[in-house]
This record gives sequence, C-alpha cells and structure tokens, in this order.
Amino acid sequence: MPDWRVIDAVLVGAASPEEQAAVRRWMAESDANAALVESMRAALSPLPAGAVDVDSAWKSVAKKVGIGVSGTRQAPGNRTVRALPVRRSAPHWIWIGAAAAGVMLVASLSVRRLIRSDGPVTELRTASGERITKTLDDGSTVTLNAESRLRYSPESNARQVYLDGEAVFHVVHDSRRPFQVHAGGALITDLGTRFGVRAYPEVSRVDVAVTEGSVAVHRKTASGDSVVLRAGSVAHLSSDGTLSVDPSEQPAQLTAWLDGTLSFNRSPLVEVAAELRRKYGVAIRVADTGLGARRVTASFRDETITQALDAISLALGIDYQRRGDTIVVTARR
Amino acid sequence: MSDQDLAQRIRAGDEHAFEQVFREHFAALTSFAIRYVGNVAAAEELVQGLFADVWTDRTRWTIRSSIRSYLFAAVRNRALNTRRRARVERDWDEGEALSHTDALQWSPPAPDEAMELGERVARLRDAIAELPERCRLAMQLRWRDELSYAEIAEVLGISVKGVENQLGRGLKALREKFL
Repeated sequence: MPDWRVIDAVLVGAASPEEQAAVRRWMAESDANAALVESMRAALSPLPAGAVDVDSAWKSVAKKVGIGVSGTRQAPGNRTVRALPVRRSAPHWIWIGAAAAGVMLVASLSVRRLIRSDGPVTELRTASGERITKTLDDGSTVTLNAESRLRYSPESNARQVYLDGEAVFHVVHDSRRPFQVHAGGALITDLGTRFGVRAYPEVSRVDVAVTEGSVAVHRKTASGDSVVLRAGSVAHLSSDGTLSVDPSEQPAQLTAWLDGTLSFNRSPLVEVAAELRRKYGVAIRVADTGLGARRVTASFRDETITQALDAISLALGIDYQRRGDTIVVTARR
Repeated sequence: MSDQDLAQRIRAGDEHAFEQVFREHFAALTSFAIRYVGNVAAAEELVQGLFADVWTDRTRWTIRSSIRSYLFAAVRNRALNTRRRARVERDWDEGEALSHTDALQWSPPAPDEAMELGERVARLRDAIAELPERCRLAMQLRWRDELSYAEIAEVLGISVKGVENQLGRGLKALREKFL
C-alpha cells in the first residue's frame, strides 16, 4: 500500500501526477484497494442524508435574530436558486497527458472489458484533450468529454451506465427499460431525451442540461430530492444535497463543449483551469486558493491556449508563465 | 474575500455576509452534527442555534484559522455539551468496542439504501463503523468535508500530529478489515 499521505492527497485532489499514478497502480491490484479510494467519500457521508432545506433553515434563523424581519430588504440575488457553495480547493498539480505541453492529445479511445463478479463490464475512458462518440447496443449514443469514464454492462438488460466526468447522451427511449445514468450522487433517468451530464471530481456538484425531451434527476438516497427537467433547462445537484434549477440558465452553455467551445459564466478560476486542461491537454496550476476562487466570464473556441490565457489574465489582472510542462497562474505583482 | 474579511463584516453587522456564511456551511455542519446527535431535526436545531448565537454576539466574534473550522469546532462543542453524561470521544488506546450511541450514528444502511449505495460503499461503511470514533471524525472531516490538518486539529482539539496519526492508522486499519 502506498504511504497513507499519498492516498490522502488523492482523496482531497492534491496529488501530483506521480502520486496519482502510484495510487492508480495500487487500485488496479484489487477491488478492495479501488473501493478504498472510490467509495471513501460516499462511505463517510452520514445516513439518513435526506434533503437539508437551507432556505427554510435560513428563514428560521433570520426570524429568530431579527434579520430582514420587516421585509423591506431582500438579499440581492434572491432568486429561486440558492447560491451554491464553492468548494475551496488547495492548489494542486493537475495531471498532464503523455504528450508535451501545447499538443492536443489524439490518443485512441481506451476501451477495456472488465470482468466483475456480476458479469462483464465495458469501460470507455478518455484522457485530456480527447473526446469520443460511441453508439451503444440499444442505438443510444454517448459523447464522452475529456478525462471521463463511462461504465456499463453490455449484456445486462437494464440500461444503467456509470459516469465520471462529462458526457452528452442521446437516448432511444424505452419505457420498459429506462436508460439511467449514475453520476456523482445523482441518478438521471431518461424520459425521452437528449441531455448532458457533468460530474467532474474537482467540482463538488453534478450538472444536468436537457436539450430535448425530459429527464428525471434524483439524488441517490432513500429520500432524496427529485425533479423532472424539461428541454431547455439545467439542474445542479451539489454535494450537500441541494438540488437547484435556475430558469434563466441555458442548456446550450453546458453542451457547448461538443463543438469545442468552452463557455464560462462567473466560473471560479480553478474550474476554468481544469476545463482548459481538458481541452488543450496542458497542465495549469493556480498558485493559491484566493486566486482560484476568482470568477471568469468568457467563451473560447478557436483560440490557442495562449490567446485564452491572455484574455483571462487581462480580465482578472493575473499573470501566468510556463514552467516546464506546466503553466502556473499567479497574482499580478 | 478572505475569511478574515467576512468575519470582519459580520462583526460590523453585515447581514448579507452572515447569510452567505450560513448558506455556505449549513448543510455540511448539519451532516457533521448528525454524527453526534443522531437525527436530522436535532442536528438542524443545534446548528441553527449556533448561528443565532454567533449573530447575537457578533460584535465579539473572532475566528482563528478559518470560518469553517470555527463552525465545525463550535458544533462539536455544543454537541458534546448537550449530552446528558460527559462523553469522551473514543480513541485508539481506549478500546475498540462500540458503544450503543456509536452504533446508532453509524448504522448500517437499510436494504433498499444499500442497493442504491452499492455493495462496496455499504461494506466500507461497515468497516468504518468499527473504527474508534475520533478516527472516524477525522476521516470524515478530511475526506468528506476536506478540512486541512490544522482545521481538523482545531475542531477536534488535538495536535496536527494527532490528526495525521488518526488518518494514517485509520487507513491502514480499513485496508486490513476491508477485503
């Protein structure tokens, strides 16, 4: 077993590429090893998880201490959507693919067939800078974005897939065998649709965007929140269990990556760095947490990585420099 | 805005800053409190009470390393105080037997929940349930709530070395139990 500190680093997202590789090798040795890393978060979350209603809790507290009692002051941004807590991430090394910085990886799709005790499982995996579309046996298609993984049992009659990362699904509807995506803490059920799911590990939420038809999004606990999303809407399921829908948000923003567009709307810089890494295949490190929390609103498609970084640096007043294979972003002095 | 800035604004009576802190931490603190008090309603009440007191006494509110560690530590202190009998968190050297209340808070999932959670997660939960309580708390604060070692030390009232000790021993023990 690797030193516990290395596993700790992986569990909190602060592991260097070497550390990640070492832990991945260890995980491949046995199912127990893999479970220790992959299932740790879920195993540490208490039951019953339930839905914590932050809104009504806030109202109780505010009323008790006399905040906003007369109703003359509404908090700005008092829409139907709660502000999602931004996960603070420690500055961390981002995994870089095998190619040199600046070169888009066009590696072949990695497809593995795993044999598990409940039958064979097919796994599709993409690395940084990769994207692939696959037609499944039932005729549904999935487009997998970079750094993602999709698992499913091709021989099973139940159409269940397990997603880490990001994908867009175009599902052939069959009400006798509902197509379901397990991603993060969410279960997304097709009701006749085309929808996108986003569940990258460094972002503590799952995003679902529907462009055709509708899906049911359900938090995976016995008594979880559930919502039916219709075409043209977007839902976010955060790690603390709040499920929110913003009527003004467009699914197109979340599926923009399909044509290579990156679209940011007040996204924290640390998420932007991860997105740039996935698109361009270049490691980007944000030097401190304060910097990582700054918001970026921008959209990129045909720009080079340098053009994208120049635009962001100008807008945020930050600097960046290449150090070997990595780009490091720092505050402007 | 840094935690110190936010705390400063709350001291000065900024209701928006206070609401922001509330919304950011309430759910995670409630999950943490459930470990101690056993149910959601009591946990919510405890956390709401904490926030109400912070606001009422805001002019004197100060934090050490972060708002988050202050709040987690405060929840733990309240939870320990409200127990009828004085209760010390079980540690490695105090014996590994589970008390009745330990079992309550780390109850195995019901069959339908277990199916949703997946067999691996359910088995890992069982293995975690056998660890000493202080170790479980350190692991949750670290790998679920992602507090730093220093923050966890502040919350649990132990040293940073102590935190590392809990995490290291815990992981080794889990690997041995979980086969």
